[in-house]
Amino acid sequence: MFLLPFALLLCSTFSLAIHESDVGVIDWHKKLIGAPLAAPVFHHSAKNGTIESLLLVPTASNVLAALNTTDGSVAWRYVFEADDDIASFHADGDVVVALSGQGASVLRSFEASTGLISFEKRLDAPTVGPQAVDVVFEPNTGAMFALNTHLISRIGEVQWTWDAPDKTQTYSKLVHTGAALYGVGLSQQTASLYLSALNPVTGAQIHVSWKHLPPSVSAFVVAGDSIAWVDPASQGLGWVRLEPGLKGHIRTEKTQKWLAVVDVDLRDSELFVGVLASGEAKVLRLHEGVVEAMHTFPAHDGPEALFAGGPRQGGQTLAIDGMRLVITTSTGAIQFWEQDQLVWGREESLAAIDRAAFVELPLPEHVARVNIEGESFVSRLTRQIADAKDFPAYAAAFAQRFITGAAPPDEVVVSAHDHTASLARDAFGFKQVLVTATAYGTIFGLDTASGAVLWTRVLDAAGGTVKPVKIFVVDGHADGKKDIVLIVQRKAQNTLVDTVVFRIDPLTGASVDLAEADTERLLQGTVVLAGPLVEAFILPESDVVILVDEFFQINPYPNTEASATLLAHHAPNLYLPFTESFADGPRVVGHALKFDPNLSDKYVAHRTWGLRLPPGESVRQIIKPHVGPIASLGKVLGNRTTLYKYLNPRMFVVLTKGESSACGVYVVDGAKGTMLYSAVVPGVGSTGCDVHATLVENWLVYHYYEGDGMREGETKGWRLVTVELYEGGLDEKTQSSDMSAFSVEGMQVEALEQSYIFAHGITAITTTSTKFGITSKDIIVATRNNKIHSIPRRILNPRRPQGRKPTAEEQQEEQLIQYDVLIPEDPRRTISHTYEVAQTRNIITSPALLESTSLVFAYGLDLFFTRVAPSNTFDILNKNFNKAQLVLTVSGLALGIVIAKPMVRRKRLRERWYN
Amino acid sequence: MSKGLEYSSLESASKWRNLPLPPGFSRSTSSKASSKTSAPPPEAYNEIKEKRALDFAIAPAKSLPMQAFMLYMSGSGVQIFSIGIVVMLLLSPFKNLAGMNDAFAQFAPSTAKNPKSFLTLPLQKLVYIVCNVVTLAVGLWKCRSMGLLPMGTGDWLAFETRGIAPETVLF
Repeated sequence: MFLLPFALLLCSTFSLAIHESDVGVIDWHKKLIGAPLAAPVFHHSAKNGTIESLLLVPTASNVLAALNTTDGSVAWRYVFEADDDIASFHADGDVVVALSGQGASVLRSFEASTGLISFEKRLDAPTVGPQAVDVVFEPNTGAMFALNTHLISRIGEVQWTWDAPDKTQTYSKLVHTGAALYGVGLSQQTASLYLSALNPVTGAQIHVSWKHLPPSVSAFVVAGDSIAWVDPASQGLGWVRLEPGLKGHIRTEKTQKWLAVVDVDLRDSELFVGVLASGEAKVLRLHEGVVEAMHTFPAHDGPEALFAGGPRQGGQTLAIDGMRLVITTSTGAIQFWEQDQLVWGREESLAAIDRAAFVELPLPEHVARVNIEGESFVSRLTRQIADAKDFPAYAAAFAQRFITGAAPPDEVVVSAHDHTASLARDAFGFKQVLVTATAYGTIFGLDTASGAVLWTRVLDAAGGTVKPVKIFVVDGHADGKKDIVLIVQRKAQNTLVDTVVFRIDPLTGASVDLAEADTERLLQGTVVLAGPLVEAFILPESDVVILVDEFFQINPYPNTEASATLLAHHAPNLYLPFTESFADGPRVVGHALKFDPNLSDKYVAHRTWGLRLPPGESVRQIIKPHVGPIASLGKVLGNRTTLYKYLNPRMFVVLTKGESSACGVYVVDGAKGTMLYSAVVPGVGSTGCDVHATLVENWLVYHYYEGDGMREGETKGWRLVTVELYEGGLDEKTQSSDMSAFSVEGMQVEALEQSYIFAHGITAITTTSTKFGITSKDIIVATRNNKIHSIPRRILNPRRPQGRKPTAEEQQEEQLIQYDVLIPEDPRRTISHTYEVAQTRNIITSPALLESTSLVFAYGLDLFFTRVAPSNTFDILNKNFNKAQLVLTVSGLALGIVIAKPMVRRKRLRERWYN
Repeated sequence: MSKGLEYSSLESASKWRNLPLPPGFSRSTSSKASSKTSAPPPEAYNEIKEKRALDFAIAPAKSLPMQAFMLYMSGSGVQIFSIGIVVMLLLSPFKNLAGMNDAFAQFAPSTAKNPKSFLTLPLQKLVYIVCNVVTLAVGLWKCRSMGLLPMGTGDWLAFETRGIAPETVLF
């Protein structure tokens, strides 16, 4: 117990929290809400005399958000849990009510201006699945009525629940007229309307049937205190005013042939749209029991969703407020227009990033110019004179850099707010381009310095949907330039799938393969497989991508002579493990390549091994190892002996889910399918596995939830296990890194492992990566409480001594600290500091040019980028290093010598003469 | 009992021997007296010289406890003091051995043909060498305890290289 503070103190000298001055400079955070699910709703509230307008929107990321209409910033948002889907939301005055959860039975009431929850209530869930929910507010009392399929509840001071006598009659709309509360439903089977009238105060049933309703209607709308419908038999428009006794007079309009009525969410204005058989549509107003046509327009010219506020199939929705217009697109963008001016736009498809990759920027042009050979004397002279005009600026910059110490701030800091500067590599490589492909078929280039969107492209889905599968960064055609190869599964409307490759310039978003004049248009790709893709890989140290099609044929991309030769060169030693679907679930199968001209003109992958799992266990996930340079082949212990790392480059991790809530963690050799390490950890409850793992070099870290203590005295909680694989004991080596997979010694593995209690559940885990791999690697995790943490390597060292203090040698050489079961929660290790980074799905890291620094990008609902230095920034001078002082000291000493030297010489001469 | 000691005679190669006598000093009286008294035999001188040579030879060993104490006090960290002491310990044996023949020349018996030869006073020189080696060993031991000696495999790990594995697995 006494040791813990000491250990913390020891750690503190190595941990460096982010300085407040660096916030927003080295990191950025994009708060997103997700692509809108339904039409946004304008909400106005008077506050301090000014009217604040908010835009309320429920999104596909299960978020209820309010956007400021002035700048599009997020005023507030409420992120619902994954198992708590939003069913509907309703706004009235300063109250926003959302129904969510299973059976849409959880009702939350928010303050519209602040987003604070005023109450949360669990309503009765309907016995059948929820089909329709509706909420109406009672004027003046603050009470509200919630309809859920066959249940109607009053929430307020008086609370009651009314259950329909016939549970098969489901209601979909609630109408409150003051006199009574009406539930209106449309039977799915008979297409007949039914109504019920309730006393809004007591919940007593007034009446439940109406004799004279038409036998079948296609749809109905509520307008004011009336309902209207179209009778498909007579193609007549019918409507009735709701009265407590359900005895209103049914009126019809049969002069024109009506096809349908469309609800446009303007029931308070008594407006709805009627579609005529002639192809016209009319905006109708049902006032005082009379229908009047306000406006007539052609109905089938545009997508149906163009009806104001109508969330229909098209995916494009509108909300109109005076002359202000909000457009949400099928690619997840929200745009706010005032008259014909775009005021702001949000790219919400970034909340659904599927694949992301860092791309290093090329050298600036004046450095990159390498074509010096072969230039004539005159041209060289002119070039040098042209370059000489930059000399004063260079000299000034040099002097400034010399005096102020370190590099000019914009190099260290990478001009966070100036993203207009040209896209060129900065001194330390902090500025890179993040290419992200989203589930909505859009692709973005983000500037890592500021998070600004450099370019956006929409992938050409050819009328269907696209799903990004893999993204590779390959060398481009130009010197030092990189290209992005994005492999996409495109599903056409006729459910046929083909595989399309987009080759993109990461700096501009322009297509590389296909010349294109205009980058504003849809991005065209090349169809490489006329069928689904099984897997795609990049050949080692090359720019050739190989695609495995459904017949396991290997298709190189680009499909050139050179790639074919390269593939033929690698093929005999190439092994491809991936998951395949079998009747009993997915399995991990290893493949080798074979070329048989009788079978196919391409290389074909054939199965060589299958991972044998215990019966009932199925594969959940394959985790690739992080590939990076390996700086050290072993771990040197305090007594100068070495533990040689098991550096099998073929290792990968398989996470499985077994019967009786056990989850497996396996480290598998990819060439022959042998298990090098295996562990069984408990699952969450009896249903799922919540195991996350990451593998780098010989180091495996995994995280799971220990629900029920396996043994007596164990606590519930999250566990973090660190495993290191070694070739054997002290000084034993087998040279695992260059050994053949089929060598006998390859199975000689010794695992050191330790388990820790971690305070949080996590959603993503990865390690940092640096240019040469010398810097120690930290673990970066995204926790369930919306933070990004880094866990130092020292704490996760499985050699931490248990039950004794580390010896002086171990402390000095290995910096070991005594084992402590709890990983201390150090707020300085929270690299997202005060940001709330919600629902992170994945974290990727990339090396910078500085060895000490690693770039970290976390994506999910929010985007978060920062850079971390696991071993501190040992390769740049401290910010407060005083270069001027150093120079002054040295030159002062030199001056002292110059003055003192002749004096001493004279004195010596005098000594010789007079002594 | 006017026995005078001719110290200068001990120093076979004294540079003061040929100095002119101070004014008013007569050598004859004292030399007469000394010549009368029986001068010690050269063998006795040689014996004394040998004894002194042995003392000189074991001098490094005598200073070892002191040095050990200094090493102990300097600690095992790599700092300027401990490094200074260790460097002194490591260098002085070599320096001593290099100047051994010169150092022992003064103790050479008068019979010796060449006082600077390695073969004069062999036993003492051997003892001297052993003592210096012991000093060196202490210095090396200190180096080892400071972790400055490449003794373990860990010190040679950085020089190990590995090739590329024959099989490639793509993920």
